[in-house]
Amino acid sequence: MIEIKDLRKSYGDFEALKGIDFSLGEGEIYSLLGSNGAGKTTLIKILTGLLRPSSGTAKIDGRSARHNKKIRSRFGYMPEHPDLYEKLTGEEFLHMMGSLKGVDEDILCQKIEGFSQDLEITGHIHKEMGGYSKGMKQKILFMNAVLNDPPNLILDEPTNSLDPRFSQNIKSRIKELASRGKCILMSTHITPVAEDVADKVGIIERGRLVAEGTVNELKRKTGSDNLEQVFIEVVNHA
Amino acid sequence: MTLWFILLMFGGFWLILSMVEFLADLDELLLNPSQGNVLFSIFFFFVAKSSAETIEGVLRDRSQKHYFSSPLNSSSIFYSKLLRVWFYNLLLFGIAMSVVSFVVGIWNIELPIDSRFLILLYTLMVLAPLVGFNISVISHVKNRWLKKINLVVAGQMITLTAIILHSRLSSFYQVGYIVLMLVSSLIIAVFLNAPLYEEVWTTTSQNTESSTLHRRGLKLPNFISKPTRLIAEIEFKRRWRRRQVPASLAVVTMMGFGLIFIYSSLGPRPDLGLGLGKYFYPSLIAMTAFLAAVIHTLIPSLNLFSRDGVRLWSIRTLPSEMKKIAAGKALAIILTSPIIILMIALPLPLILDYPLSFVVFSVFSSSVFIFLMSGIGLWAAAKFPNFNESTKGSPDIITMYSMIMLAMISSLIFLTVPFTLIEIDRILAVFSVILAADISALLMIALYRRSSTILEDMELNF
Repeated sequence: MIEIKDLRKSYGDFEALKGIDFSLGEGEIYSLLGSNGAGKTTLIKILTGLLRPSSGTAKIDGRSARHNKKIRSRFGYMPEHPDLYEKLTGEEFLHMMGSLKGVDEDILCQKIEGFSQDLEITGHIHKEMGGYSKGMKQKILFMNAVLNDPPNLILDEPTNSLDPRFSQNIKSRIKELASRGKCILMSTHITPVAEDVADKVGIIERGRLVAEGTVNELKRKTGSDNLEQVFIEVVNHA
Repeated sequence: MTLWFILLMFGGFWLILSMVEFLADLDELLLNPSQGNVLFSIFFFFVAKSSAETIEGVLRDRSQKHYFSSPLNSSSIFYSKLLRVWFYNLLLFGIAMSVVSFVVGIWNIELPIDSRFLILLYTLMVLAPLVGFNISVISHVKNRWLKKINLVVAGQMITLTAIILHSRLSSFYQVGYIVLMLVSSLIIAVFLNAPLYEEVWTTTSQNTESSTLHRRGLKLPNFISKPTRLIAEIEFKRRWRRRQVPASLAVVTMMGFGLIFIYSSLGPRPDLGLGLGKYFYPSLIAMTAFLAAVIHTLIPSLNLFSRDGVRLWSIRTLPSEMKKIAAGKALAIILTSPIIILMIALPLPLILDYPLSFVVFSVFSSSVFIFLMSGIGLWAAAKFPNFNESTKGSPDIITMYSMIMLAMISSLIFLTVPFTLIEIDRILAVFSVILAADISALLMIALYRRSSTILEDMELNF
């Protein structure tokens, strides 16, 4: 379960987040939509403990991830930029991360092999990640997020650099994970992705949650045909 | 921080002045007969330095793809890079010479060098970056025969330089030879390497991006906690693949051989004319061990976190204690530090047949350097990180300088008592140096724990 209450973050005079509230429970997919620089990544970084909130709370399963190593095994995180250790192979990186997340050695090897077959990177998994394409790095990041089968997933722009085939693959995996009870928070600015998978959508604009609801509710409220129109309508009137 | 830096700067300046004064006071025997050696060592150092810079900063620089996709031709890019390496090395040499001239002027020191030495030095310094750059480029040419022929030519040129500098030829012939070599190097650069540059860059930078298969590397024993062990293994592997570990090991090994070379040149007890003969080798071992610890332990520790930079999210979201992760990072550095003991602290005392108590003293003094530098480096890595990706996480020059000075001052604090006692009572001195090593190890643990707290609290907003 993920719970955000009156979350604020300031950098000097600039307020990146101006009091955000929302929550999501088991089996739910919540998609954060927003323009570039709206505050989506800041919110996610606070939730994962990488940033400190100025005020308010961001909790996963009732606890903050900051200074709390136990809670870190209860979520999987996929960052927006595919920044990986270029001198490690994909397998070495996943093996290190999986082992430190407490995944059993045999299961870990099976998982890495299984994932790399499914995501078609078997031929690259034993090569240094410095030579990977952006899409391949994205796949490694997704694999890392789900390696230890955590109850919560925080995915920042998960389909950003993927071609339509793998974007579809990741979307169906996200739905499948939600059907197994995972609580999934996903940020994106690609509206069709959110429309396809999200149970609930929250639109952030200039640090404020300006609209929230299911895709159909938002379409009804704004009189729009699709989520892209909803987004433009909401942001223009924010 | 400013006051701290000023204090360190004056402290460091005073130490350097004292060292220069000491060296300048040495008997001519130390400097005069080996002027050729000194010249060749400086030349070789600058060749090696510019060669390493060329590989790391030029041939592996992937951002050059922008130049190669522009209308610029390969040779123009080659010359601009050659000039960059040349310019920076000359600048560094210029700064070093200014400092020396300033010190010599202020203290009115009479260095036992003549105009011949200076002419040769300046000529060699113009040549060294050029030779280093060309060696790096030719050693990465795809054609095996071309590579071998060029490397043989380069090897011969360097060997000839060493022979000419040792010989008793007049400075006119020596300078003439060096100028001839300079012209040859330029011809090699212009006609051979420049047209091949694009091919060399493509091969080298793609190798960095790598498609190499890797086997499993270092395995540490299971009694070390899992996070520490895994992080140390991975960190070591990354440093090894970036060639940092082999390069650093090679430098320390060369320093060790340098000590033996000095011993073979000056004999077991060089007469310094000041009655300080018996302190010569102990001081030399201590200074070399300190420098080796700076190169092998302090400097790599300083960018341990900032080199990770934008990738730090991975360790910060792990369900492991940050102090165990920091310990793993520290372990990866300390693992290879015994090379300082093996190559510097042990061989010369054994060759000189010093008593066992002194050998033990030498080993533990070096351990003090290793522990202190590792602790200070790791703490500074978290306290003053530089997340600028273009500098590959290297700390800024002020931080680096401050930390070297801090390491020097703390080493003095830790080792003053043992070094004083060795004159009075050797056994007591050995006990005190063991105690100093223990305390410095504890300090190292305290410092890396502090660094883990800073790292845990750090805001990662990139």
